[in-house]
Amino acid sequence: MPEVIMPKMGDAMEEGTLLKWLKSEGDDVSEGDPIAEIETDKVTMELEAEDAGTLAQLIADEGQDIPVGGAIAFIQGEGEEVPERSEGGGEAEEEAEEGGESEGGGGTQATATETEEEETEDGGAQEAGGTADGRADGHFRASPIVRRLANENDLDLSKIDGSGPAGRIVERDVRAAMESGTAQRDEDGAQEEVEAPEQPQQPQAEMQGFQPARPPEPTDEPGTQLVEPTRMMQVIGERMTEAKQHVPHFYATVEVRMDAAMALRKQLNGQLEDEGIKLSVNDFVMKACAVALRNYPNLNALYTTRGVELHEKVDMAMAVALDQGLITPIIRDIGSKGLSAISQESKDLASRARDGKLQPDEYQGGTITVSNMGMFGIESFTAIINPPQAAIVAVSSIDRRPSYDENGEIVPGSFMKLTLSADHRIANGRDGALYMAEVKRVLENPVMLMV
Amino acid sequence: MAETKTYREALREAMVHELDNDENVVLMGEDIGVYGGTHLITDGLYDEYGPKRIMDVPISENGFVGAAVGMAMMGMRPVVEMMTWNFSFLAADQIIQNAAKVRYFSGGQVEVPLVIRGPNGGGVQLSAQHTHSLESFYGHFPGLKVVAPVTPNDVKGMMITAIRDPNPVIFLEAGALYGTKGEVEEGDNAVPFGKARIAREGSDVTLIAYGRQVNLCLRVADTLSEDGFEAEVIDLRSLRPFDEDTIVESVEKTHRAVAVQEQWRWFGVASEVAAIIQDRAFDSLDAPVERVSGAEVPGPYARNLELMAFPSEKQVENAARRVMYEEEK
Repeated sequence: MPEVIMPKMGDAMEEGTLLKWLKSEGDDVSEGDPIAEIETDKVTMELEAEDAGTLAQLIADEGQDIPVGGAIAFIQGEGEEVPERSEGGGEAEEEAEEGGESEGGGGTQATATETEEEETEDGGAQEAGGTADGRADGHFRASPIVRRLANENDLDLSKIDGSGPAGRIVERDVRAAMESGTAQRDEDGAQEEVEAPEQPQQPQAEMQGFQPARPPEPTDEPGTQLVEPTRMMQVIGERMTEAKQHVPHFYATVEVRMDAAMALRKQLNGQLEDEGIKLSVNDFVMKACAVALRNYPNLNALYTTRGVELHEKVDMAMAVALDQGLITPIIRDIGSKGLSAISQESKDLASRARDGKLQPDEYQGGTITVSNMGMFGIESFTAIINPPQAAIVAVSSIDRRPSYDENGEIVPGSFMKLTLSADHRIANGRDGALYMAEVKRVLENPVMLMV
Repeated sequence: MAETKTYREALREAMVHELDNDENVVLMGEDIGVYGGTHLITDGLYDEYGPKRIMDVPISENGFVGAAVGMAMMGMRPVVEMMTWNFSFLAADQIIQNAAKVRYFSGGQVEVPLVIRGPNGGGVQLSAQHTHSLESFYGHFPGLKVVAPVTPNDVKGMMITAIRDPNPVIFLEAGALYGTKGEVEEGDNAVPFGKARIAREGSDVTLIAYGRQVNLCLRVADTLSEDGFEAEVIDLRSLRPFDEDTIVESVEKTHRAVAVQEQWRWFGVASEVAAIIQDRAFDSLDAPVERVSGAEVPGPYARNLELMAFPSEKQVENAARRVMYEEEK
């Protein structure tokens, strides 16, 4: 009985939302048929059947969040039976009993599945504990007061045996565990589990007693409207909070005279017009940022568990604003690509990003990010680093104003500010300053973009 | 000063107190005057107050309740006896359509300070047509207040409050308990509506009831106490308005609750209690709220069947044990 599960579409993905069923229970499906629409924090995708058969059971409801690996549906092959599933405690027992009484292959099969599920209530917790303890709680029957006490006292419910019906953990079980001190969350384990370099558990443990300010309850006053965050907004919020709190940022700003680059752009666009290619200022900036990295490899790096990983190739993430959030699709090995290739690729990625049509590998795994707010007339801004990357460059608008030429004459000039945010654990101020000076040099001598 | 009196005496005392206090107060009902009342609640009052204050009425519930509604609208304060609440179905039109609605229809200009009182519930072998607990029936209608006192002190205090209330009050007496005794405060002991009474303090489970089931819960609490479990017993006593806070505070302390009622389970007060607890004290709960109710049959006549049809101490005790995850006995 092939189980259709919530696929893992990216390293950071822990769960996805089942947006919509595209097939109904009982429909025949062939391999590759889209059966449901899945939303992750990044994209909306169609989930395809990996097996042919009858869509025997839709387990997830539309709008339901399912952890990665969680069952969504069953596809029934010929001669197979649908395993019984249950949610209530009493039912599980009853079904197990029924299974035990019944004879023959089908019944035995169902019983086996049920037994397996019951066994994984403990085992599954350890498994789930491998990613997040909070999620593990979902595998246990526990009364509301038990869940509250576990939260307040930092207890791991997987370590408590339930004495209530169907193994429900009840208050007295928790009280006993608290007295004997046997159910504390395993902090060592929690740290090992974290692959990301930020290791949020550690600083949190050190900062115990220092509680961040809790947001207030909504006022619900007339003239107010409550907007619940989308999944994407939640993820952005969590990641940016973590980055801003745990990555020590430093900043370096340069002002680049853009006259030469603008002239080259005009010239190239004239030549490329027939091919339908129109280079943007941002294409120049991204290419310049990549070219300049050749001499400053520690800004093209990832902060990992075992040190700073320097990357030869520049996989440049570009921030694209969406109606509700943002996403950073990646131009792979941008250093080896010419301006027209960069231009075409960035336009394609940006347009598909806005349509929510990016594949996970198109927005995961960049080595540095460029964020451009020039089109909004922004004079200068600083960006938050996208961990585990070492740096992000904030691109502002081009300002046209009087300036001095080499003879001291006042001439019109076009200027643009670029601000680097860099991870101080990876690079020091001098690296950042020299790198930005190099970016400036390349852009002011755009012929450098050709080499 | 408090004196030990029967439920019946305390009830009579409240009405006498208000007869003396306010000349607009009149008592009405079948055989309440010359005969002294079927349950002897008004015994002796006819001689003292005369036929204008203690009015015998014909056997026509809808007629005399309608008259009382009109009298109340004109500023009098009639206290109407239903010989038993089972007869009030005949007067339901006047109670629900007029008494409960006039204040709303008139935009608050016309009040209906009316009390309808009488014995509620079963338990004394009066068979199906005379065995009804009507608290959820009347408690359903906005515009009516519904109270069900169980102690002699409360029946006096709540009757005084009921007579003074500018709205129609459905006063459900524990008919089986007219002869029970308890300490009753002297003079004006008005008990406010909308405030439950903690009949017994405890820490392990909350038993919630009203009317004569409160006494049953107190007996169960004694039994449980012998095994080391301390039950808190809450007497709701006022069902509309309803005191949610006392229940919620208790469950936040005990984490377990059993709601007990004599009436049938479906659409009853106990269901309302369970809903309030899950709504407001969900994170304090250690077990689902149990309901103990009457059996889903018309009230039986035979004594053995009648006993089976009403909540028993054993049922309540075992429900309490279940929510404490203890073995049933």
